[in-house]
Amino acid sequence: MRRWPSGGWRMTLLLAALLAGAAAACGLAANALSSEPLPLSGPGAAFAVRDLSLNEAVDAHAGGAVFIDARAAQAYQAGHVAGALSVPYAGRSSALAGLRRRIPAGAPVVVYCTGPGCTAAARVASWMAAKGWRDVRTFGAGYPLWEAAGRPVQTGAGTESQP
Amino acid sequence: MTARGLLLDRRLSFALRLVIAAVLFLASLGKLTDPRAFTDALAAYALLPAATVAPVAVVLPWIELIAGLALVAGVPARSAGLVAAILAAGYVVATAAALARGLSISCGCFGDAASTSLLGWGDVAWRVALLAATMQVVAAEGLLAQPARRLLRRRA
Repeated sequence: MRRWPSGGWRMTLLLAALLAGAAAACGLAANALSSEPLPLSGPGAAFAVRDLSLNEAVDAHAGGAVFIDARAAQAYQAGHVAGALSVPYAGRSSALAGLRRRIPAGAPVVVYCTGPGCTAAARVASWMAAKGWRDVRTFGAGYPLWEAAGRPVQTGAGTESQP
Repeated sequence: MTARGLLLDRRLSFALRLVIAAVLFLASLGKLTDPRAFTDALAAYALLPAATVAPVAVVLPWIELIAGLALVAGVPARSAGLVAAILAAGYVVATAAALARGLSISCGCFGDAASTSLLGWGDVAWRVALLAATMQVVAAEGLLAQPARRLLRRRA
C-alpha cells in the first residue's frame, strides 16, 4: 500500500496559488477584451438595479413608466401588466432594436417576471441598464401579486416589442 | 479495500479527476457564455459584499476552467485538486447559507439563465459529494499525476 504522500505541501500550495492567479488574470483580461465588458465597480455594476414594492410599481404604472415582461412569450400572452412589452430573457438580443425605437433612454422602465425566485427580471433589467437605459427598476413581486391586487392586466400578443 | 486504501487509490483518483473536471467545464462554460446573468445569479446569493460580486463573477469561471484543465492533464494534480476542493467548499457554503436563510433563488451554477428551478437541499448534497471527491484527489495525488497508461496497465 502506498504511504501517505509526505512533504511537498509547500509546493502544492504554491502551485495552487499560481493556478488560481493565472486563472484570475485570464478572467480579468477576457473581461477587458470582451465586446460587452462587465463593469467591475461603480453604479454601472449589474446588481445596482433597485426593486419596487407593489405600491411603487402601481404609481410608476400610473405615471407612464414602460413595463417590461421578462417571462416566456406564452406566459405573456396568457396575461400581463396592461401595456407591458414582452422581452423574454432568452430573446433579449433580438428585441433590442424594437426597444430602442419605443423607449427613450431616459424613460422610466419597470421589469417584472413571475415573482420571488424568478431572476429573469433582474437579468433583463441589468441588461437594459448596460444597453444605456438610465432609469431601470425591477418589480420583484412580479405578475402574480399585480394580478392578485386587481391592477390592470391584458391578454394576447398585442404589444410585443418584436418588430 | 480499506477506507484508507480507497482514499489513496490512484485509479479512483484518476476517475474522480475526470468527473470533477467535467463538472467544472460545464460550470465554467455556462457562466462564460453569459457573464452578466452569472453576476446577477451570484448577487442573488447575497453572500459577498456588493463591491466584490462583479470581480468574483469575472474570475470564478476561469478558475473553474483552468482547474478543470489541470485536473485532466494531471499537472499539477494535487494543486488542481486543492483548488477544486476550495471551489467545492465554497459552493457548499453558498448554497447551504442561501437555503438556511430561506432565499428562493436559482442556482446559477451552470449559467442556467433561463432556468426557473430553485435551489434545494439536493443541490447541497451533490456539492458535498463533489467536495468529498476533490478531497480524495488531494489525498491520493502527488504533485504530478501518474500517466493514465501506467494506471491502466496496472489494472490489467
